[in-house]
Amino acid sequence: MSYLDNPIRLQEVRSFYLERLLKPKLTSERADIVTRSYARTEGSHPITRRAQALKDILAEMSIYIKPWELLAGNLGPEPVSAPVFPEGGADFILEEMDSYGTRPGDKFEVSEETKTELRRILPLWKGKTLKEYGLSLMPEGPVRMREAGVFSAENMLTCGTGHFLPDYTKVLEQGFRGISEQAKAALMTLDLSREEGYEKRIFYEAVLTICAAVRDFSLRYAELADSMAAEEKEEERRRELKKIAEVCRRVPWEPAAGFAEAVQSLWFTHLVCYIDSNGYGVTLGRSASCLYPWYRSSIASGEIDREGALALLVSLFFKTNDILKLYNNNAAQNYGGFPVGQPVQLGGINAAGEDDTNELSFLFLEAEKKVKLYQPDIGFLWTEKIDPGFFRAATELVATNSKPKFFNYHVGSAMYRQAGLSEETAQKDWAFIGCVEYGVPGKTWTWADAAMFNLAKCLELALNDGIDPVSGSRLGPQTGSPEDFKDFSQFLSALQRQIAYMFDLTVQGITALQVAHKHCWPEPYESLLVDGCMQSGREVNQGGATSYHTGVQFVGFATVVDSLLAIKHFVFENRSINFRDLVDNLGENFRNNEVLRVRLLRETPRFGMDRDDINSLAGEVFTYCCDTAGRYRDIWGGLYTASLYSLTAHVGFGARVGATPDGRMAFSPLSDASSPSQGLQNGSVTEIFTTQSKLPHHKAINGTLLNMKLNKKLLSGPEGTARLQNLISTYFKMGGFHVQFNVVDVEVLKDAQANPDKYPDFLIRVAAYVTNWNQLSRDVQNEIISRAEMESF
Amino acid sequence: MDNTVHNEIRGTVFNCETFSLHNGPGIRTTLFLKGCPLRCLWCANPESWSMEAEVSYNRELCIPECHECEKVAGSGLLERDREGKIVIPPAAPRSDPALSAAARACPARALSVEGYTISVDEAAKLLCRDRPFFEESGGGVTLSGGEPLLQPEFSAALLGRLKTEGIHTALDTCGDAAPEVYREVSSLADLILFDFKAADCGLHRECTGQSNERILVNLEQTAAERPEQLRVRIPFIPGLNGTEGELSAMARVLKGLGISRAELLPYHRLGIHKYRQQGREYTLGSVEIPGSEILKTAVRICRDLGVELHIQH
Repeated sequence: MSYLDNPIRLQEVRSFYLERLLKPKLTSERADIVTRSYARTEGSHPITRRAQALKDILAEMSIYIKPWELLAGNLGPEPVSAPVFPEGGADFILEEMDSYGTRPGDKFEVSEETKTELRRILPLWKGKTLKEYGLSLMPEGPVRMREAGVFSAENMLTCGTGHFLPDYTKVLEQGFRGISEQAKAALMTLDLSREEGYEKRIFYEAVLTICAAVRDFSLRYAELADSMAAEEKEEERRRELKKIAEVCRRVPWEPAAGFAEAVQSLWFTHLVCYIDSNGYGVTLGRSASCLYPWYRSSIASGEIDREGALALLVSLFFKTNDILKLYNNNAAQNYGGFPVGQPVQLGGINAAGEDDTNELSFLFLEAEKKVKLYQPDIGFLWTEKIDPGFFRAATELVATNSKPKFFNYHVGSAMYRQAGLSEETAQKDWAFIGCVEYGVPGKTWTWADAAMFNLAKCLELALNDGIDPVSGSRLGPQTGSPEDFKDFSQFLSALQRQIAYMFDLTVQGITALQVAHKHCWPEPYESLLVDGCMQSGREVNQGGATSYHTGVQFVGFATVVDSLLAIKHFVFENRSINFRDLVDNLGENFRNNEVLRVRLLRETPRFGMDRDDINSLAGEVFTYCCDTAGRYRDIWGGLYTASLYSLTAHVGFGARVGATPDGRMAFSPLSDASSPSQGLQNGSVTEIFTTQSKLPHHKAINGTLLNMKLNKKLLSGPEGTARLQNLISTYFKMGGFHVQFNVVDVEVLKDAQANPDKYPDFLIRVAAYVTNWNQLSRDVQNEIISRAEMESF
Repeated sequence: MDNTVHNEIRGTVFNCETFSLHNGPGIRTTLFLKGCPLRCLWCANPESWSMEAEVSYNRELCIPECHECEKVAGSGLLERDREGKIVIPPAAPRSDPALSAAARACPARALSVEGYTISVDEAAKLLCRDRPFFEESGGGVTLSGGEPLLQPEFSAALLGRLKTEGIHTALDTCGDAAPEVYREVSSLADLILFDFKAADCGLHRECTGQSNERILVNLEQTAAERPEQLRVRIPFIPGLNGTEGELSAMARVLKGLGISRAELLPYHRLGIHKYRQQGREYTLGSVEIPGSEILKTAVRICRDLGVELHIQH
């Protein structure tokens, strides 16, 4: 019996996490260590400095093992705390830290002690951070566009890259010792009479520093576990602690010898990415497949049983919730809810071309059932060959956990092909990064979330001849006034010109940041986990990886498509609204013409309705975005790709865009991801799936994302699960790529009633129709709540 | 019948619901036909009663400064209240074409027209749209209402047409139709969802405005001839048919017909706002929403008499 086998203890630990996750702590320890380390290495090569800083952090940071843990390795000095990365950006934390406890979302608790420490440390970084360097490189155009809300690249401005699928298997098979030996061998062959030789030497020496640092890090835990075991009174726990010590004494330095070592090695490898670089979206990937050989051999040898393996996975799942990231106030709007994106991916196709589901895949679902927290997210990779029992087990989770999210593996493969990858890779290796993004496991170094791009702002500029109506200043090219457009296609061209122009400036902004990363924030640790760097002797940000990729997210897709449909319908087809009047009314946020607004709102044909003309316009805008991105290459020669996902950027960007022709009020949220506009009856559940399936998803290589909200009632019982499976498989057979479900229960309904403003886009099924919650009168709301409550019966 | 005849038949409908999960197996599309012989006190779809298109009014959506409806209707038809919102005079018939025309001009959809006609062809095209979902889930199309048997030609033609399309069909009926009409139309459906409201004729008349005589004949016919394709559904209304005496009576009728299973649809008030919007009075306001204890008792009563109730929420 391990600690968490007791259901009461399991609940206690869950409650502890849930409470902490509402207001995690910001901690200053890492900031202190890295500051002292950087002071010592002043004047050294940036790669050497990063390696040394990581070494110092791993050697000095506080470590702990909690009573429920079977794995060692922590991020902050206590569970659910976020470290500070002053080398990324210091000024914003100084300015904002007093507000972190009270800001609208993503609250952090910052103790007075921490504040005092940070006030001491952060000013030392003035003029030396990635943010300042990146902004200093950025040309005036992108600086202005970023400030105007045309694009946002907040992530890459203040932290490491994150967003990749590390080659965990390599560490599990070779250990850091194996990597270290490769580096030693490579060092022997360098020609130090050439510049290239020196650069490689710097890199390989950094590799040696890092591998040793990671080994010593795990040895610290071995010692801690041993000393805890010596004090431990309970026999069972003493045995567990001794096991932790034994495992940490071997991995990740040595190749993993059994399942326990494999899971521990994977966790250390993953964790150190977050300790090192503060990126988000370091993706666990197809872990059930990665760990399976060790699981099988440990089961066969009797070293572990199914329950023991599950206990390790439960521990791993809790651990992923310790990983947190501080976003600045601005970014917190676009990345609401602490996204750190470490998804596990189950299902898919294996190397033999068969369903990749195995016993561990089921165990991962069982672990999720027990832990049921924010992380890890779970991606279900649906294929035509998927094990039906596994599909059912995964779908059953949706009602209680709103996980997994579902992916069509075959469309994923088509995206790989579109990106020019080999047929073999497309067929067996597909996995996504973070939310839905592109990258090949262990192969691609990606800036998958390089920037969010405000498509609706481009529309606003096209409506105003390139002038930003919010500020009154010129941002875009002169593409014509409303009076100038003779037909709809002319206006569409104007929009396309604005998009192309703004995208170019966005790429300039990203390029500045990529150059900044290259000079200022090399990532030697991550370089070990991406194919190519060890072979070439070059760090990832210097171009050592075999494959690169940069992704830009187009935000506000349905808002723009609906607005175009409104213009086409009212201005150019039935000519009932004059274009100039429309634009003037948008400028006034419909203050004097509520009738016009409701007409636009109610009578505009909308994306989500299954009509050929609507689908074709949506496809045209979609393809234009993908093609625009596809014309660019990043500083390493990697593809630029488009995606339609927005996290919460549709809220942040919406706040920068005035009223739009679809009837949307000024500064309110844009449509999210690839979903239809919120809160309107744009189509039924099946119609939304049908229209989404008609988008050419494979062209958006960086992924598309569909959010569906479903009433929990629809999912109850085996019937509900079956219907959900039917919906998903129909959608995928029709060509859809991704869908995730927000499942709504009684508590949420009550909260929505008490706080309607929190739920502006809450669709709910009411008997024979689906409608917005806020459009229902209080008595009908009460009825729905009472019906939902009857479910427990 | 050939398709050219089908083309000309038109039906009056008021809603088409996709992703319908409670009107037969699988994922279904339910077409709601307008017109009903019954006036069940608990009816959640009062817009289904009349065969004619009628205007519904949601006052909350009305914009006082808007005059679009009056531009069409002229003066006199509509009034304004103190807040400047439209009022439909109680005496004005909701099926008045002038009122419908005014409603169609309403940009806010405060005024709306319930009901439109549709040809068999158009309906079939609409209903076949979700075919991939039907095929994946074993679903299909359900005709509901109102009462589809009030438009027997349209219903029969549509059911026949869907059969040729290879789509599973269900007929949701109150059973109140002439037996020959009932037989002809229902024989074209793959499944019959038969609403059984009361065994006692007096109570039935009190609750629905009609006797249950024809209903029982039709129920008996289906139970005898097509028991496999029959599903009985009982709306459970506390204080009306939700009494021990009436439930027992209904269970005995079902048992006598060899039916040992029925679905119980607990009373709800989700349609109450529609009464207000259609200028009608809702008279069951004081009936309690049945709680789980009451429902459990109902299940027990019927189980003791050999009928298993499945509660559908």
